[in-house]
Amino acid sequence: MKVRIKNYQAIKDATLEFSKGINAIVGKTNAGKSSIIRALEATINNKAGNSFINYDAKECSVEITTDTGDIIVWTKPTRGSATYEINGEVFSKIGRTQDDDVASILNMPEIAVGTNKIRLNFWKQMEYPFLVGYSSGQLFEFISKSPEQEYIKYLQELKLGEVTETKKDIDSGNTKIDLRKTDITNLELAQVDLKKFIDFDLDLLETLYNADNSLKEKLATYNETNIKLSEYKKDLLKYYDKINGLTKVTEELEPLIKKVNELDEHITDFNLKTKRVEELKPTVKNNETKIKDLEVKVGKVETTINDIKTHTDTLVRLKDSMGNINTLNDKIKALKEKLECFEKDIENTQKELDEFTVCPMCQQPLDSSHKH
Amino acid sequence: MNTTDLQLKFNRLKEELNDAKVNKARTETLLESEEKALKKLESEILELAGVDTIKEAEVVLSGLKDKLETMVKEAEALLE
Repeated sequence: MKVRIKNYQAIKDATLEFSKGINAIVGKTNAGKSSIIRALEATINNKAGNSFINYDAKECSVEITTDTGDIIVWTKPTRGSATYEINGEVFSKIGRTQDDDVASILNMPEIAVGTNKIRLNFWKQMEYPFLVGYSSGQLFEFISKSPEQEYIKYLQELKLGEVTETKKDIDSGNTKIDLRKTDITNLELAQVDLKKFIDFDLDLLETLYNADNSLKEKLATYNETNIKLSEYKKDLLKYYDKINGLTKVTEELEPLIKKVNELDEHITDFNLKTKRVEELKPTVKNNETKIKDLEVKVGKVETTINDIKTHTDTLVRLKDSMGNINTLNDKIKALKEKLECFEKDIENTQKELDEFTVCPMCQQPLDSSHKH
Repeated sequence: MNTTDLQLKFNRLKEELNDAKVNKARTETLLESEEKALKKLESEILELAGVDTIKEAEVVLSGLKDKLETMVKEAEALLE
């Protein structure tokens, strides 16, 4: 089914293609989803009033083309009554009720229940489908007034089944919506990527293409070079092994070379010294003569020194002995003086004793036989 | 002078005489020893100086001094 809506509420001119089965209308808030539903309902039920006509339009119209090829055009001017055009035939003065032909073609008739007319095909937003949202009291009242209870029951069951199916369809639709959302997200990402190429410079592309070819050639050269490098690397590793071997030999040779160098230094030093010895030989000879002279002189000096020592020794001993002689002479002189004093004392004492003729203790003569 | 004083004087004189004799004998011994030492020393000096009298030895001593001074000068001259 195809629907074209003109100047209905915010919709200026929109054409929608509906497929068989469940169709979902998706869009942001205020995009006009509800307006589509309201436009269809107004067309099917010949809605009264003009508040739904776009503010800068004189009329609104909805054209429905069914899958069987029937075309219904509902036109509602801001002033005056609405008209239907069914398959090219215009119907005016249609009043404010549903047109039977239209209801028949679209299979959406109003159903009379008592004095009420029930629209089974359209509900307001957020409303339950027919009878589903009724309380048990409301249902009882409605059914009790109905002369076609059996039919209503049948319709109720039918609609409940449809509701279940519709819910399933809605669930399935939601799943599809989620999938589509994912697709949209991926497409948006792809779009972002593609945007990068929108303003792509062809010259630059050609340059890049050429650069790519050049790079490919260079890559080929690089690969060849890489292979060669691998071979060189192998050779290099062999050389490294050789170098390592040589390094070891060099390390072993190093102490020997050091020794050889030391020997060289010694030899050089030895040669220099030999040369110096040769240079010094005349001086040495001269010095040897001098030394001999000096030795003679030293011998003489030594002899003199020995003589001096001997004489000094004799001199010291003589000096000491002479000194001792003087000391001894002084002592002897003093002793002799002392001896003279003692002899005088004896002589004087003896004279005094000789004055005694008899012993004063025993009165005996003091001769040689006198004793105490 | 009474008897006691006489006795005391007699005894003192006898002790003094005895002490003087003892001291004389000691001094004589000492003198003899010193004279022996002097003779020994004189003979050594005479032998050392190679002369017969001490006077001659004194002459030798004086000559020895002069000789030593001369020898030292000679040695110094050689070493120079």
